[in-house]
Amino acid sequence: MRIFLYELKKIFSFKRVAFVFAVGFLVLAFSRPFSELRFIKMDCWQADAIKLYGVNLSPDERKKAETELLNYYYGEMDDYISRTPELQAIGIMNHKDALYFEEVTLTLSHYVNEPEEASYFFEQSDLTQRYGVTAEDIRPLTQAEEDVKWNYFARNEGETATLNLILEKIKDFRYDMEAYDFEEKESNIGKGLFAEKNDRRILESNAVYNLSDSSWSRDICRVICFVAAIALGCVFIMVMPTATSENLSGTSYMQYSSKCGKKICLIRFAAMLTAAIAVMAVFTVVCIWGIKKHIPNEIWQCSLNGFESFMFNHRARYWFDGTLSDYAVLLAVLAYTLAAATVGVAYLISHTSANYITLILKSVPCIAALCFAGFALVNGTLVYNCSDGYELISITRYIQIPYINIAVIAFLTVGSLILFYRFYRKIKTADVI
Amino acid sequence: MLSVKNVTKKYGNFTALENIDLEFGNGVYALLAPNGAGKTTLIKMLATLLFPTEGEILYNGTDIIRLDEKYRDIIGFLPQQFGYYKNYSPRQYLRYLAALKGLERSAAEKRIGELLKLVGLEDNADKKMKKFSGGMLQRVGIAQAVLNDPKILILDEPTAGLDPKERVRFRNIISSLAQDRTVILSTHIVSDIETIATKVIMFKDHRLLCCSTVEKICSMLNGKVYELDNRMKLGEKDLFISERQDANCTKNRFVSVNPPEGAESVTPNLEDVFLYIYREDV
Repeated sequence: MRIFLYELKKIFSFKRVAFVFAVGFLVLAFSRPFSELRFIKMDCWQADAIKLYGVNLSPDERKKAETELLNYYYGEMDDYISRTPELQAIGIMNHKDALYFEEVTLTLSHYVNEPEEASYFFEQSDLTQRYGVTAEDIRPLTQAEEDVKWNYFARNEGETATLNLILEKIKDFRYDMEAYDFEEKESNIGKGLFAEKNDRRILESNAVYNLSDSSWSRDICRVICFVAAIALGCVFIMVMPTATSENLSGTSYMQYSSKCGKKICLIRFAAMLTAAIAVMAVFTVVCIWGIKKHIPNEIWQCSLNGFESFMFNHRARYWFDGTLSDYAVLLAVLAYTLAAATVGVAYLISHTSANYITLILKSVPCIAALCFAGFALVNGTLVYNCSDGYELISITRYIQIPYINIAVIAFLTVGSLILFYRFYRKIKTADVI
Repeated sequence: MLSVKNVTKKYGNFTALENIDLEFGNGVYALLAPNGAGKTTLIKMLATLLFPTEGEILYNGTDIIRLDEKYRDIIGFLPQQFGYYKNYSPRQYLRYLAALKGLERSAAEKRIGELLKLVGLEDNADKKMKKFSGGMLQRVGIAQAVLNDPKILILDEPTAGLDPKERVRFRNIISSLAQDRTVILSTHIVSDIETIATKVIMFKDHRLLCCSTVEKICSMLNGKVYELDNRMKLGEKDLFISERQDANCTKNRFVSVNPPEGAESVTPNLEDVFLYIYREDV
């Protein structure tokens, strides 16, 4: 225990701690996701809804209610499509076709200022094969066209089934269902009109409180993942000089020839792990503080997926179908697990570096990889498109394999720890030159 | 009892030591050989830092590799390059090493106080070591080596960087420590061990040349070492060893079977033997 404390003390040298946290917090303070937290305000109708009605249903009950609602709307939509020949004419025969068509074409509209990306996306899509849509059909409107938008639609209506026409038809359905008017909801919520007018069924079931479209989940998770990425970088910087500084001070002869022997490597590794957890804990506190400052506690009980992901045309869903707090815990577990992998890698690099220049050269790609793993693996791949049989195009950030990020992080961590163990075994039987 | 049995150490194709057989009891065992002869290799094997390629090193009949920490618990080691943390004071560093050696905290504190006094560092015990001279650092090194009161003390070129006064102090410390333990020290400075070594171990061509007392080793040149005024010419077969300033003139010291006329026979010392044996290396 005493040796462990000594090793821990060496890692937590004042200069190192000051440097690591100064860099970490500086990056955090100027980082977009974290600094934008204050903009994720509770000023939209969902916030008020949560405050007014609370979150009363258990996840299971909510899921059941939402499934009921979803099926109700799917039924309504199928019925609407069956009565709309324009949609059927281009192959939109049911709600799945319609949602898929809408999602792909809306994704295209995101590339309004990026014609090359739009062209690539279109080429990758199956819009032509599936719906006979041409590039011209899906071309985003130019500014001039936007100016005469309604005339444009009027001119084309009845002549050809363009994308925009079809989209309008789908939107018509949304309007029919009185569920798409954001602004109206927002303005009415304070008066309680929301409950009376639009979504009584939803509110009655308390199923409204999911986060898929509110962007809070994405923003909060982005903040968590960004903090995790910075924290992992800091962990790496904090622990990586540990063995190299021993190499430089030449103390290993005394350590290895003492009673403790080469077990010092294991103890040092344990100290590095502890230091990593401590650094992660500090960033966890900062992250919680940052989020709590701007977001009310109720949001943590909201579900990630739900009826609204359908209602607001955001059909990419989290495979992790729980509350935001569950998801945040999962993200934290993944980040802490990655920290263990970080320590494993840091030890190997540190032990095999004779000086700090070599160490830095070896570390740069590792820090980059860890930050990528921390951000991309933890965040990006947790989302996947659940529309069955209607796959999104590969250039989107959605990945269809649930648990892939957990699997990758587990692989990285186990791999790193095995690597460390094998390395330790090698050290044990190797000459100390 | 520590025994080295047929130990060979190879680094790839290079053989650093070959078929070394040695036995160590209580007393000072001095490894005397020029640089690169394999002293440090043997020292490191005795400190379990290197593993023999062939043969084994036994302590009371058991391989020291198998004894593992039980063996390391009874050794003290001062490496050639004594590593330390610049921002630690001697006291802090000795506390850390005491923890590595498994000493109880209270016992360690007492022992550290004694040792700092023994090596003359009590006044600098709490100063950072980055301000220390080479000699002071070496004294910290000696203190750490005997911290656990080892039965076997292994010192690799311990007098490097010490001034004459410190060398004498060191010799005295070693001499007193060796009374009830094995002290193995490597050096290429003859004067360090001439007066204190129980046995001197010499290597030649990476093999063991001799392991004997100073007297016995010196006796190999009995009647063969002479001194002659340097204005006189040496014979062709005479082997020049060193030069010495006498009161009236400079004298050449040499080894000879048939000394020239006027040469004065002198008692051989360890340095004569060292220079004679390693005449091609030094």
